[in-house]
Amino acid sequence: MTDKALHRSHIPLRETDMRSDRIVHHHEERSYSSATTGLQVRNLSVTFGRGRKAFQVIEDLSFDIAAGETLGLVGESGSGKSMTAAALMGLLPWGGRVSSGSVRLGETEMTRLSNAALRTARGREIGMIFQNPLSSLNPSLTIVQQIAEPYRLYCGASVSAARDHALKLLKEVGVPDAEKRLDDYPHQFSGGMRQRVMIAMALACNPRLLIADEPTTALDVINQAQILRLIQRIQKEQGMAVIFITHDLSLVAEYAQKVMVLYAGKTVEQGSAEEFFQAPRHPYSQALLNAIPRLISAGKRLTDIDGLPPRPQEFPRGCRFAERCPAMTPECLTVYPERTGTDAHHFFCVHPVGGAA
Amino acid sequence: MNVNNSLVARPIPGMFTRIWTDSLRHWVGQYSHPMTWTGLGLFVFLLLFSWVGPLLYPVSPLAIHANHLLLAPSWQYPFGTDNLGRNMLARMMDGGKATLEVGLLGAVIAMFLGILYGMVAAMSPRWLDKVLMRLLDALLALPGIVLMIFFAAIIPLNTLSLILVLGCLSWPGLARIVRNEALAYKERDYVLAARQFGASTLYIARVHLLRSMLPILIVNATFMVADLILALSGLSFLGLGIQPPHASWGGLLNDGLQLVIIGPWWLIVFPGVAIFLAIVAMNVLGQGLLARLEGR
Amino acid sequence: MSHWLEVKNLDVRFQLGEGGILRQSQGTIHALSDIHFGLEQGQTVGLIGESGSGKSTLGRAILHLVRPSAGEVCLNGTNLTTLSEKKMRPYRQQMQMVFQDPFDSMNARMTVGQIIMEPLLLQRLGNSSTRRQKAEALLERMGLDRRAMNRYPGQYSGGQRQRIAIARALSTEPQLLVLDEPTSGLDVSMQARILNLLQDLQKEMGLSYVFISHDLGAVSYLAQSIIVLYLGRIVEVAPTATLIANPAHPYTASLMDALPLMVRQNTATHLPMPVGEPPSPVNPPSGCAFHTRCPKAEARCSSERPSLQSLSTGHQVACHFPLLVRQ
Repeated sequence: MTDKALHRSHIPLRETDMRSDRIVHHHEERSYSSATTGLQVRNLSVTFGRGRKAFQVIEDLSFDIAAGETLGLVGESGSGKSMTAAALMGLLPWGGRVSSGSVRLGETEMTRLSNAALRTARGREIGMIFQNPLSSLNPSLTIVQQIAEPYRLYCGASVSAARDHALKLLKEVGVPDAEKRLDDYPHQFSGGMRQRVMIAMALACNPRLLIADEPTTALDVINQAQILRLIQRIQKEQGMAVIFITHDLSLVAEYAQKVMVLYAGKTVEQGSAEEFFQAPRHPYSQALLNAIPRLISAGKRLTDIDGLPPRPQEFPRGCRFAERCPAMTPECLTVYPERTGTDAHHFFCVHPVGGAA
Repeated sequence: MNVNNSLVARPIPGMFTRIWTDSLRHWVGQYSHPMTWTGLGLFVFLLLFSWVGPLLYPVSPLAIHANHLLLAPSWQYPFGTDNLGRNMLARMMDGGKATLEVGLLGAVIAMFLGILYGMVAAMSPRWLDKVLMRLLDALLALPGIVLMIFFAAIIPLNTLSLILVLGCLSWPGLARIVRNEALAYKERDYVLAARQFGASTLYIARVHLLRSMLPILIVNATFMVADLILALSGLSFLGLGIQPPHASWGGLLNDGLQLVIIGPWWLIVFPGVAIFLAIVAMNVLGQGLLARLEGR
Repeated sequence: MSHWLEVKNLDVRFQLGEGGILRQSQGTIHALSDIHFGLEQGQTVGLIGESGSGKSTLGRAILHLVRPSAGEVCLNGTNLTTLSEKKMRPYRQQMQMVFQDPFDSMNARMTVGQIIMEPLLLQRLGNSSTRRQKAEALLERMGLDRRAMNRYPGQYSGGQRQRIAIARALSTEPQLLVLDEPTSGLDVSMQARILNLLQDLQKEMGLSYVFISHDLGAVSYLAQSIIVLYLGRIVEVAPTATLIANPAHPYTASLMDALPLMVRQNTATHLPMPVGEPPSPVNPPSGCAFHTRCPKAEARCSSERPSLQSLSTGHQVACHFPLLVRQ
């Protein structure tokens, strides 16, 4: 498919896309009406397999992220948080499909796009940063090639404009001597610098939505703080919606305005960061918080959660966390708990921390 | 099943690749056995053909029938006869013995020498490794076939001497692979861990490095057998293979090619197919074994 | 006064590049310079710093896996650095290591049982049935099923593998464990599990730990004292509580400031975050190695290397302008 054909696809073009021969100015204000510029996900489910062997890995997720807002998506390995990101990107692994629900990014319903249109939408509207920048960068292409290429392809810039844009982005993400390093290869960069290059790549087309999948897990603390603060700054400047996927609630408390805790493919607790951290209600959220070692712990023992989350085809009928839950009673095993609380903060538990509401 | 295991077994970021490899593994799990068995079955068939065949079909491969020259396959001569009226089926069985013996035993020698040399280089101090590798470069720079011709020209040619010559000249490529692989595995934490437990160099080489390299060794062993069968055929082309009146499959093919313009297709088709089957059998076997080892 | 484990003036250098038979080496990395500390039995010392600070090298040098170019590592008064590999063997039993990456630290082609029994086999301890019993008991102590013995490590998650690695390290009944970032690849819930397990094991068996990490939160949970390394040198040593309450070196302070508020709580020093990344250890900066990134650096810092000075009992810092001690 050629560039022109991409342009003719059904994506509503943003203002920036029209000026294909000019560099997009990052600091320029976009005009949004708050309802249509962010991400709106309703009842999203992802199913693997068909017929009797079918099983859901993600069930019934709903959340909104306004432009300029960050959602912290929290859970252990296997909770479905990366699968959620893949579903949003339309990049589910083989055998998986979005079996119900809607994903609206701006005015576009992503689940109804054709493959080609989805590809374009992904290139322009969604940026993604992965945990391991080394394996997500192509070792045989120079940095400028990797940043400029998607920009040229999806935003229709000329080769030289794309190079200028790449340079500008590298400077913005804090790569020292950016001019000299444009033509370097990924292996010539340190871990922290590679992650900055990844961010530059993700930002190349000025996306509406940035998905950061454990972006700092492989980095040490100073790099982590630098990278997360960088994302935060750029987000403020550009008014992106950000999904920050992590297993670490302490980072969510620092960088996100909304929290969603996933367990075994379902939401267990969700709400504004403020209300959530003031009084987390689900025992799982509480356990995750108490598992974090603090500097002044005064010998307080960390909470560890015994066992492993259930596998998707063995998801129990009742509460999925029941088997590992300290507050479990027989009814937890039979009935899935009702949603309790408000839109601003709700949870799914019969025995919430701090007593029933 | 495996797909779902992966959802709980590992940190998420690898999930996409995990699921991919898991489904591949699933695929491999289903098909690796047939592949192994197909390759092995085919090879055993060729072995039986060469060793048990003469017992069931006790016809001399050397007997000349002056009035039965260049006969096409028939009930009397299933594979036809050659330009001296010799029974091609009997000659194929006889040639199979020589070909497979040289291929298998030569490969054993070459594997042994290649692994030994590569391992010694990998485990020795840096300067010795350098010396050994330069020496290897020199060996690799000499075309193997030239050396083979040289040796084949100065020693009496029989199956045993060909096994030794081919085996002793085919290892340098493998030695380099083994040395490079061993150096890569030496950097792994489990080797460091073993050193911390007080493991000797020999133990590390034997238990950790060789075991880790097993898939690569297996694949290379199958290639080695195939290579040696081809090398023997090449020597036969130059008249330096198994000496007449006996002949390897390669030799038979060579003899047939000289006559092919006058039409006896059976003289090249049967040896050609036999060589092809032997090489395919080794490759399929290697792939099957590899798939099982990797799929664990 | 001598400690149970004592590291004295340890220097480790690596030759850079190939360094052929005739060619000269291209340079030297001073991976560790003048490292000095002690550890008592049943105690934990934390080594913290960024990647490239030399913390892993120090762990390996203690275990005789890296040869120091100067200095001593003494265990119970015996200098280990001069021992031959053969004489070192009995000491290997007493010192074990747990590696950062549980996917790299065990041979995927060995069963869990073989992995745990390997140190016993190599140290020629017990016979095959006692080794097996011991491995099964250890697996159970780690909270794993003894059926794991015949399975392959590929079937286990990162947290489970790390527990298998701890079982392996404990098989020879060591007195010292060097823990090289044992939790950095794990989820917080798994990290908590491992940290609690290590704490329990220490109490049960009187183990000593050298805990290497870049995460001050995890280190402070286990360690009684903390050593902060920067580019191969100690920049600050202090008992954990003292260090957290009064970080004196700007680098220590920035390591704390970089932590999320929930972890650092009210300990922030509000110094600006250091810019960029640690310089290359091949050409370390003159004077104080941190001066290129330090928010408080002055002219003197680039010319004169600060030596370790005592601030209070057990609290030493290598800085010309240490941060003020808070009330």
